[in-house]
Amino acid sequence: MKRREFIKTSALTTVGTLWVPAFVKTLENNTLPKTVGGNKSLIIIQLGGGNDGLNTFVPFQNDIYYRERPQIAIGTSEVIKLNDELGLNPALESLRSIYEDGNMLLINNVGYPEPDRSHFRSMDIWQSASDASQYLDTGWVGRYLDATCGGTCDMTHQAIEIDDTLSLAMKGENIKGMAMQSAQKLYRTTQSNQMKYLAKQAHHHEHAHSPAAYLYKTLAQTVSSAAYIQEKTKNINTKADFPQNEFGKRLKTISELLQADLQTRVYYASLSGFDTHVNQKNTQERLLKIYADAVQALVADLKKNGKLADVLILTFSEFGRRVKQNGSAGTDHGTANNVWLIGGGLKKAGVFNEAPNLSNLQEGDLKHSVDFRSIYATILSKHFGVDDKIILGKNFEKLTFI
Amino acid sequence: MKPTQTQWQHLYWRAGFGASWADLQKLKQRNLQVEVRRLVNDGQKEPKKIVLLQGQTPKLAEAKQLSTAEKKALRKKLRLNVPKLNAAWIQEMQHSSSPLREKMAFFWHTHFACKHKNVYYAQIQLHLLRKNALGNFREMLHAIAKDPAMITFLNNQQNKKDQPNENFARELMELFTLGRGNYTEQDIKESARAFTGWAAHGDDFLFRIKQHDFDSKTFFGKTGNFHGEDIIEMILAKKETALFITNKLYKFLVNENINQQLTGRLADDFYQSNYDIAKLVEQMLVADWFYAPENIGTQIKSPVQLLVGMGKQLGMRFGNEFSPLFIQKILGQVIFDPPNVAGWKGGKSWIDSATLMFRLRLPEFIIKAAEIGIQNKEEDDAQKEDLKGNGFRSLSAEIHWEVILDLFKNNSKKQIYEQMQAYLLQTNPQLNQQAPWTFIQASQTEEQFKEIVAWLLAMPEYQLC
Repeated sequence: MKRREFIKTSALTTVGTLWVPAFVKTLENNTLPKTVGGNKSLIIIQLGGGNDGLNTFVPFQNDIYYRERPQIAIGTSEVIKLNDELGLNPALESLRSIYEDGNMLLINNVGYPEPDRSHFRSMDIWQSASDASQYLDTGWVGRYLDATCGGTCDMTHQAIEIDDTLSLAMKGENIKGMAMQSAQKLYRTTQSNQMKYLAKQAHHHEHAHSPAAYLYKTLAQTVSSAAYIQEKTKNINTKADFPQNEFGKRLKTISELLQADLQTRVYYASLSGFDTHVNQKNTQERLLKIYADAVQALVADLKKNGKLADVLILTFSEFGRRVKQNGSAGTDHGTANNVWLIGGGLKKAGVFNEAPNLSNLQEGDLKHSVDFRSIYATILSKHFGVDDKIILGKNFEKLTFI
Repeated sequence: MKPTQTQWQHLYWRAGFGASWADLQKLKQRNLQVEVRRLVNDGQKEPKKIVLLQGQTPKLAEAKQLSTAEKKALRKKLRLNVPKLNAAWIQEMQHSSSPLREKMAFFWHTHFACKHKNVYYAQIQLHLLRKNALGNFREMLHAIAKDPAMITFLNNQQNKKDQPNENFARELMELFTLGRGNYTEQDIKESARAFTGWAAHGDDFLFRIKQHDFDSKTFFGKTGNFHGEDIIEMILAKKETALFITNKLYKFLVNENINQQLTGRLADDFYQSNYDIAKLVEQMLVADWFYAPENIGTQIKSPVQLLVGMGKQLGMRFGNEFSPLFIQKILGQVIFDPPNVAGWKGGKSWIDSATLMFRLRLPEFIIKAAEIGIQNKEEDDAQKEDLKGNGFRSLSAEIHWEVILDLFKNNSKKQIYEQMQAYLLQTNPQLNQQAPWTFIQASQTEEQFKEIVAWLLAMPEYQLC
C-alpha cells in the first residue's frame, strides 16, 4: 500500500496495521505487555505547604508540647488515642477505623541531614530523593520508571498524577509519568482531528532520536494512553461515597483507575494549603478532615473491590513545623516530620518507632532519625521488588513494615 | 554565504526570539556578516533600565523604623511586582530592536539562575545582565558576586568570619565558572572564607570589614591573604572556565549536543580575548557550521522562546497581562523563578504529556479563544498569594492578521500554505501533501488563512527552532 492510500483509507478513521509503532498496536489490542511490579501499586499523597506533624499525631502526654503551644495544642481529652503517647487529631476521625483494622503505620521523625526550610527546595529534595546539597532534575518515581521499563515499555500511564501539570517526582530521564485530572478530560483534549491524525504520524520517526521524533513519540503515547484509559474506565463508576471536594474527586479518580486494572504502578495526588503560619488550628483541621474523609472512602472502596492488599498509600509533606508556636497562633517552617502508610499488606501496623523527642531539638526543630529515602527504598525493594539502589543512587536501610 | 530564508530565520530564532514578517522582508536584502555585526553592536549599547517600581530597598536602619505591619506590606509590594517585571521583560524581548541583547541576557539569567522576591533587586540584577549581556564575562562575574539579589539568594549575607557559609563559593565554581571536577571541597571551604563579609545593604553592596576573615587561605594550591576578588581572578585564570561557558553557550545557541572540537577552539579564543562575550557570540553566529542542517530546527523551544516567538510571528498581544506568566507556569519556566540554583534543565525535559498537549493546543486557546480548563498547581507557600491558581479561563489575544493577510490576497491556498510553513516551521513535517486539506476546510480567504496558521502552529515541528 502506498503512503498516500494509507492515509486516505485509514489515517482518519482507525489505526492501520502497517507502520504503526509496537506500543500503539499493543494498546489498540488492549493487551498490555507484562510490566514489572506485579499487581502492586503505590498511591502517593503529598500534603503541600509543610503539614504540622505534631498536631496531626499529637504527643498528648508531653508537657513540653503543651508548654510550647499554649494556643494551638490539641487537648489530651480531644485526641483519639493510638497508644499511650500519641493520638490522632480529632479531625482525623475517619482514619480511626483504618488504624484499628491494622491497615496503617505511623513513622515518626522522618527527614534528611541538613534540612532545608524552603518549601520549594525541600519539596524538590523529597520528590527527587536527593541529598540536601544535591540538585537532581529527575524524580524518584520517574527513575523507577526508567529502571523498570529499560526502554522497552512505552506507556506513560505507568505513573499517573491526578493534576494538570506533572510533578518532578514523576519525571525520569527517559520516561515520564502522565498528568491528568480525569480520564474523560484527558481523552477530550486528545480528540481534535489534527491531534489524532498527528499521533499516527509517529511511525515516520520511529527509529530516529531527533527532537522531532521525541515529540511525535510523546504525542502518540499520550493519545493512545488517553484512548486506552478512556476505554478501560468508561464503564466504571464507583458508587462509593467520596467527598464532593477537589481532593475527594482526585482520590475517586484514582479508585476508578485502580479498578480498571491499567497496570499503573504509581498514582500521585496533592492536597495543599498546610503552610499554617497564622491561626493554624482552623486551617489545618479543615484540611486534615478533607484528607481523612477522602482516604477513608478510598480505602473502603479498595477493600470492597479486593484491591487493598496490593495497594500502599504513602502520605508525606515537605517538612514539619517548629515545635514552638509563633506569635500568630501558627507555626513556622520546621524539619523532621511524620510519614504514614496505609494498605492491606502491611507487615507491621501501628506506630513504627519512637515518638518525637521534644527535649532534644536542633534550632528549635525536631531531629530526624529515619531518612525518608529509607522509606522509598523499602517500598521500591519490598513492594515493587526492584533494585532500590539503582533508583536512589545509594544504599538506604530497609525498614521492616512490608 | 548568502543565507536562505530558513537560515535567516535560524539566525533570528537563535540570536533572538524569532523573526517577525517585517524583519524577514528586510533581512532578505542584507549581508549576513553585516547583519550579525549589527546585532552584536546594538546589543553592546547600554540599554535603558527596565523599571517597574520606583524606589529602593530600605537599609537596615530605615527598616528598623518600620512597624511589623509596614514591613509586611512592603515585602508584599516588592514580591507582587516581580511577576510584573517578568511581563515587562517579556514585552521587551518581543519588541526590542536589539533581540540579541535580550536573548543573551536571558541566557545569563538561566546561567546565573536566581529566584527573586524583591522587585528592586530583580530590576538591578536584570539590568546588570542586560548591560553586560555582550560585554566582558570577567566584569560580569565580578559584578554578579556583588549583586544584592545574588548575595541574598546564595546566602552570602550569612557568610561571616566565625561561621562561614559556603553556598556562594560552591555555586560560583560548580555552576558559574568551572563546573564539577575542577576544584576540591577544600577549595570551596577556603574560598568561602575569602567572601566573608560580602553583604547586601539596601540595594548596595557592602564590605562588612568586621565579618571578613583576613587570615591566609590556601586556594588552588596557593597560599595568601586572598579576598573575594582574588578568588574570582584565580578562577578566571583557569582555562576550564572559558570552556565551561563556551560549552554552555554552544548548547544554548547552537545545539544540545556539544561538538567538542568546535567548542575547544572557541574556548581558546574566548580565553585569549580575555572573556570577550561579543566576540565569542559573533564567531558562532557567522560560522558556516552554525547554518548546517543538523543545527537548524533541532532545538526544543523553551517556554519563553515559544511564547515570545509566537508573539513576534503573529504580532500578538494578550488580553490579560498575566497570560504570559500563566503559560510560563504551566510549561515549567517562570522568569525570575528558576526551579533551583542550577536553573532549567532544558531540552527534552521541557516535554511531558501534559506540557506537550498544552503546547500543541496553545494556538487553539489563543487563535480560537477556546476555554483552557487547566489550572496551575496550587502554590504551597502562604507567602505567595500572588501566584495562587489564578482562575484563568481564556488566553485570548489580539493578533495583527492584517499585516500578513494583505500579502496573500491573490495567492492560492497552496501557495499560502507553503509560504506560511516556510515562515513558521524551521523543519518540515513529513506529511502527505494532501493531509492538511482534510482539516483546513474554510473557503473564505481570511478564515482559510487563520486555519492554515492554526494548523501549522499546532504541528509538533512548531515546538522546534
